[in-house]
Amino acid sequence: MDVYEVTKAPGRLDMFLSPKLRYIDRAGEETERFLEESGAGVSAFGVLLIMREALTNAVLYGSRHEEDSRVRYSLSLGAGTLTMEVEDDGDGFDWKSRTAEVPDITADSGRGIAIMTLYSSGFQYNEKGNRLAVFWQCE
Amino acid sequence: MEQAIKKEKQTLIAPGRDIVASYAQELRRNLWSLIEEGVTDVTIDLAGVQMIDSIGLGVLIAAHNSLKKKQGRLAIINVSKEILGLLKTMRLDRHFDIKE
Repeated sequence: MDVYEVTKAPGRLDMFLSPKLRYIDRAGEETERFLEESGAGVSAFGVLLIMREALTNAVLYGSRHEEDSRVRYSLSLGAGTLTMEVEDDGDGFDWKSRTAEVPDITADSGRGIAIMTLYSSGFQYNEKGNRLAVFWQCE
Repeated sequence: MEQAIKKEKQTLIAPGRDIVASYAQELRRNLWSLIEEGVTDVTIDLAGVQMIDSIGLGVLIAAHNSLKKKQGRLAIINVSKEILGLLKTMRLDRHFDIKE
């Protein structure tokens, strides 16, 4: 059974999703609303771009692709920092081997880490590589 | 919805929606069909496109690479300021023929 749950509180957005690409589009709509309503003072384009990178990776490569597989996505605003967290229930990946360098222009993949580096204030994975936290300093 | 206007070996595609993971496969199939039909010059009209994620960039790059092998080209028109910034950041402004 597909799951799509959204929980909102002041300065916080939580989503709990089945790993479906169409839910990334809906997460984008929720993210846009959150940024407008919270007045976070960060580049909406950068946040939306990284949201798509993180959720697409979770949906396509991270999740177990089983009936009960789930992805968690959250945004929280506090102490001048916007924090995004994305977690899937898969086996993670070897994030230490990935480079932040922009790949060759003819490469048709491999830009995720470069995009996160260039469009956020910072990010970190857990050791396993199935949970990502991204930070933006608000203006 | 996506519109395609064909003229001999040239085609204009206007997706009219964001080029992101949920749409990228459809665009990839359409571009490949055109290339297989012999189209060598493709123009993507980005009017109304507010976001291209890395999956979408991959589709455009792969199409450009295929067209280039046939001495063709991929051009992009009506690029938003944010997407132009992304293309420049990824150094793809040197790869595609971009008209703002």
